[in-house]
Amino acid sequence: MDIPTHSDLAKGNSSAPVAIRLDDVRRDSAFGYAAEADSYHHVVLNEDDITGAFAEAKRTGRRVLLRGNGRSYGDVSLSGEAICLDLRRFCSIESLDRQTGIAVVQAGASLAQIWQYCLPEGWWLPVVSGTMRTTLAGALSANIHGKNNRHTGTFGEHIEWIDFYSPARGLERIRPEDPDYWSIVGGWGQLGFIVRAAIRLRRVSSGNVLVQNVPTPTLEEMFALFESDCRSEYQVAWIDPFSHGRGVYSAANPVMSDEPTSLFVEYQEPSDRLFGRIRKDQAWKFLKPFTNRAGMRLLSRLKWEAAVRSPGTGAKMMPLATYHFPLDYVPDWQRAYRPGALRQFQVGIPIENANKAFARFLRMSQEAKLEPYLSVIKRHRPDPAVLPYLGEAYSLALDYKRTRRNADRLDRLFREMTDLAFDFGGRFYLAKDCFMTPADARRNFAPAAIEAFLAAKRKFDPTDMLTTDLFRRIQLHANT
Amino acid sequence: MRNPPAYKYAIIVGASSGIGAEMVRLLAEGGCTVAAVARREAPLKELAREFPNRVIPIVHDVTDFAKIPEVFLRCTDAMGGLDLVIYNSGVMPDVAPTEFDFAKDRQMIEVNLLGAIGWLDLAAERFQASRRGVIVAVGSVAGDRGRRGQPVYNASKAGLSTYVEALRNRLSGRGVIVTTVKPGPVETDMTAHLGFRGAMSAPDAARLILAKSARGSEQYLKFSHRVIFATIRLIPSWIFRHIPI
Repeated sequence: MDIPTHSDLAKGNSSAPVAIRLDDVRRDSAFGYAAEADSYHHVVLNEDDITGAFAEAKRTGRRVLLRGNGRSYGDVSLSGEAICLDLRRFCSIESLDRQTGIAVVQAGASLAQIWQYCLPEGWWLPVVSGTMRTTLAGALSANIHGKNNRHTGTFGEHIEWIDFYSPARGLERIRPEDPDYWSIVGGWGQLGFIVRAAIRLRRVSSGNVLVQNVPTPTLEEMFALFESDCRSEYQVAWIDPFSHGRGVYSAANPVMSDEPTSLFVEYQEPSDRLFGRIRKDQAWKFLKPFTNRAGMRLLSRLKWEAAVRSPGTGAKMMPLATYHFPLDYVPDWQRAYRPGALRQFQVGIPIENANKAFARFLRMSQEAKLEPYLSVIKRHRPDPAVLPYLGEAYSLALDYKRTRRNADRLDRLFREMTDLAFDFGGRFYLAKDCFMTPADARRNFAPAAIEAFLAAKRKFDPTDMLTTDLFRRIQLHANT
Repeated sequence: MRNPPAYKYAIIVGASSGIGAEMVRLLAEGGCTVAAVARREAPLKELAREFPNRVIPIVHDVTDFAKIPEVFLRCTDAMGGLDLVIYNSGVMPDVAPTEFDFAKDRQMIEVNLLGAIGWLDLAAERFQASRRGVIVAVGSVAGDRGRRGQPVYNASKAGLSTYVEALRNRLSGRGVIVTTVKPGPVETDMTAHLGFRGAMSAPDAARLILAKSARGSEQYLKFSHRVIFATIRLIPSWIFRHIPI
């Protein structure tokens, strides 16, 4: 999705009333092209634009879609024929208290903008996603988790307050102690619009983390490391999807010594070229020849061999941004999946079943000759949102390439793995979902959670103005 | 024959009978949500009963030009998106060899040409913004030459063909496919009074139109039609005027 141009902005003059015009129709895709929808785009420049759009939606009976950088993998941020509020120009960092680390940020500011502004002052985001393109409103709506979820929790746990606009109640300030807070945060934008938030940043004296990579020949050894190494703040593991479970466990901790120059943005993002030669924005083209079984088998093997051949070299120092945002190494890498689509199967399984379940998922994929191209494991603690993702659990994210030829087989595999996941007590993350049925959703969330969410929905958005394609698909809306 | 592309949301204007109704059925059977637009309510309701969650009946007279933008938005809202618009409305009243009836002529221009412009302009505006979509106009081989039997019907289809060619050129490079389909003789209510022999059935014509919908350019339904009508176009006017077609 392109950033709005100056002519878009000229059209979207903030004082002009929002109107439905055919030449505002844009087709948005999920990140990875698993879903798409048309909507009437309007650039949000200030709060009047937001209230204007909601007024027009009320008048015409249309839905409203809140959209940032479109980093969700499924249809949670798509809404066909809705008025789409493009938040990417509503992105100011309104203030940063250099003493307390409280930053007040507008909805459309990306994690990139926030850390680039705050890191030179010695502050870093407490929780980040694998991409820095996530917007603030997106991070809160999806209540994102990072590699430090076990220790630090979710993004929503580091907020002082939010300014929240809902169709039924207008603008109000909500704090974490308010009973509705955890319906709104982690509420997938279904209740209203998080206009701005005050984030509690964490103090850092260095812009580096110390990373230790350990090759693990089996899943058992990997899980043992996760559990024994509970003092490491950041924990993540990669599995070779073409193997029986070998992989690389990676633990990291912030560097505590004073390294002021490492806080500079230039240090964090030193080059716009990979290996000093390939322009980053063109690098996905070099990835494309490998986005097939043979290519990914080769890359996975090389990654494993590289890890095995350089063991015991001790911890490696890495800039925070390089460590935290691996999905941004190769911008637009999802284009390498074209003309197919990227489908992610991201599931969380309770600790006691994770080893068995993950081994089964790998085996099922291999037997179907539909190995994922990437598989990543993280450790989680209970999520406080009303529609929670996980309890004490491990998550497994598997990236598949869906093509016209394998679509039916891949859908069957997803169906079988989904059923198996539920049998193991698994839960799915809606930011990555484009598969769940209404029945699946009722297995994914406890009845009390669904009831609480729907009660909040009826309170803030009783006419389903904000219900997106995903929530219509799984039939969780005010009129349910 | 190749399968038609997998459309998710389609508007068929002129959907109550003949080729239009068959296209609605084929699309709905393929899983597409279809806004079926026509003047007559009863046959639309029948289609909606046949495909309860797939076909949305929209009653509209294409000559009510002022209403077209509102009806267009109603269709896209009801469906939740739009990939394909087919303009299939057409009238061909019986015109005697010596008859010159302005009321009949006006009706043909309004339904066959102006209605098409009203609907397809909107489709073009939307698709050029979203940078994808398929527009199909069901024209006729009758538009290839000015025949003695149906001067204004020929003119309306020739006008449609030229208008759609211009749309195709205007939207080229914007990800929008614009196709003119020119069926030959087809057994429909509209042509029943002409007593065509060896005419194609409406279901066959519908299947072929959908199969060719995403090809762009001008499409005849049969190779033989392409050859015959290419030849007819080459016949000099001073000979053509003596041919009783």
